[in-house]
Amino acid sequence: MSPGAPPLKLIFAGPPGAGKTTAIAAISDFPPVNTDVAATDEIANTKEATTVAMDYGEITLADGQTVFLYGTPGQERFDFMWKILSANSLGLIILIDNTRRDPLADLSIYVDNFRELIDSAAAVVGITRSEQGPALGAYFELLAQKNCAMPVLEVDAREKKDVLRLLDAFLSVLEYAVA
Amino acid sequence: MISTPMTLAAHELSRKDLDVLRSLLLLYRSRLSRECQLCCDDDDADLHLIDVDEAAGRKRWETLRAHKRCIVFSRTAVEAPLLLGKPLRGPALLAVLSEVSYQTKQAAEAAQPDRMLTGTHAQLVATSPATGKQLISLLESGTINSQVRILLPGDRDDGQDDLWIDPQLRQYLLGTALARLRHFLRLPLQPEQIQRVSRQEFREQMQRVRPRTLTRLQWFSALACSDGELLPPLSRSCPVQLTAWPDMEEHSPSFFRLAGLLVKQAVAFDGIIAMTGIDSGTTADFVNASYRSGLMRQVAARESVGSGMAFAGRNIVARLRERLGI
Amino acid sequence: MCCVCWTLSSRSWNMPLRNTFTLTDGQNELCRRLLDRLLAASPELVAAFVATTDGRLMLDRCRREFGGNRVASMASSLLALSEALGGELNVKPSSHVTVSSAEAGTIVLLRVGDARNLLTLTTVARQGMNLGALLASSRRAAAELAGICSEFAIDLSATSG
Repeated sequence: MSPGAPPLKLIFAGPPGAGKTTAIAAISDFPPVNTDVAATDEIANTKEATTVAMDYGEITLADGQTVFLYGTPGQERFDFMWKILSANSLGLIILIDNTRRDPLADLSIYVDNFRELIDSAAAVVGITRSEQGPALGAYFELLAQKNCAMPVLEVDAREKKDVLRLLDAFLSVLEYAVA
Repeated sequence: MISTPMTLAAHELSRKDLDVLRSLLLLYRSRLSRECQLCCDDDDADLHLIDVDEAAGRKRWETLRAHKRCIVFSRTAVEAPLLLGKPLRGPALLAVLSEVSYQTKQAAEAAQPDRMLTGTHAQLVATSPATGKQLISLLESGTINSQVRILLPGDRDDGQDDLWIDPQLRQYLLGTALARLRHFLRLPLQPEQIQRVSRQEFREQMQRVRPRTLTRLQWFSALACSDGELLPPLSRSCPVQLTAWPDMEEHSPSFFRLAGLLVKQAVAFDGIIAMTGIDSGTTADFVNASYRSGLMRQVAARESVGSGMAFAGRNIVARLRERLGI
Repeated sequence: MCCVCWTLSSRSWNMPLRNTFTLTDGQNELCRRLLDRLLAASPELVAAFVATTDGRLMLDRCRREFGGNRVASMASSLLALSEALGGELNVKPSSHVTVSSAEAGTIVLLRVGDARNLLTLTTVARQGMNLGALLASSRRAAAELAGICSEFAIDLSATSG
């Protein structure tokens, strides 16, 4: 690894409770560091704590280079953190909780906010808790409306094999993203 | 598609909702069995979409519902035969318009008692063009254009449900993995295997089996019928590109890589093989499946064809794959 | 950082149906007067923001136009990050966070009350205000706020589920 090489980072984004921290924990070399505090908004109905800055994990490659894994806060009021964290990243993994009130609207928010990164690098969408809520086709239709082609997979963020399948799709897109 | 367009009058919709409605009608035009022409506040229209969340809309609904077919558009669960929830979404709109088309068709058929199709479990006529073709061909050609149930072979006591298809909602229902149907999908279907079902029956089956995108069925069916050679309409020298990621049931690293390339770039057949290192047969199967399921387009050779990430970028991907074991 | 476990106490919370925390009218009035006194006492103080630890603005007092909602969210992130950093370097618990510009002024961020509390205070001073004075007046204000909003504390003795 050449000294001074820019750090590599992957961003995990999505609404609160979608499974970002869980997904990072599935692949990180150590349990993720988090910045969780007690939730005081409607999220408190479903979760005790919410991320207000980031989750942080790492993967160390064979040559010693580190890939940083960042989970963003879920609420839109922290969109400034989305921008800070996603700058110069390899790409984006969006996790959507299919049991939320309007998961399609959730995806729409993240696609709109991260559009530049999606177009220039790589992104995938993982749908968690998919046994309820909109069928997968609805997500493909939404992306088609936005003229945005990306993988959409049903995943259980607690299952490492699912997270790896999602990452396989991500790396497949990243490999051929035009420089 | 029925030739006479249906007029749809929108009442009391916001500007934003009207714009969305217009876009969706255009987007789904090819999927509707009857073209839908949008007009505003025309009391003589065939169908009326009314936003009842405002007083003016509720008043309009009260006036029209007695003698006109109305779709109620509301944020809340209103008691109405045809209801569209807010915000306006494509799949929901398509479902309601399909229901209207179905009801219109049912009414028309009821007026013609000498037709060969009777009841709700009628089978397709033996002389119809639906016979002797693989399922993918029937889907491609639009021969299956209403809700059907395809009887699957095997012991019916083993709990395996049949294959239900709704081409208008673009969904299918199957209680098992598609992989189990790989051989069946290569066989020509016989008329006695295809039964028409009602929208209500399809809905009841949806309570038992989660719907999947029809594209997934089409893609897998086309894959099952591909023999490792590029299909005649496709040219080896013409670049192709995916318009959407295929909804693949199984995890195939090779197919993921092919999709990853073609979602980002338009590449000719030999170029795909050179860039991915994946064999010709697998590549042809993938391209055929994507093409037949409507996810792949051929582009003019003069459109820009990228060469992929810089070497350093590919190296990172390779090292990440090695570290993660994928 | 560990997740905090809590249960609702039997005290009279002002909690609308969706379980969101807000100030009562009485608390709002008292807090508003407190911030007014804070700014009146120090002409170099240009703004003060009271927010929840998860970034929701409760109220603010500003001599200039600021995006209070944005400030509340950013303050929450910065406090949480600073506490994570403190935990990493064993400099904890964090008493406050300071952002200083030699030309433009100073920002102080601190929790209201102890670590169980759900409120934060952010004060902004223009260039020239003594840092010690800023910290002292901010801490006094935070202590008073803790008294007014004593219900906004987590009962650590309770367990969840």
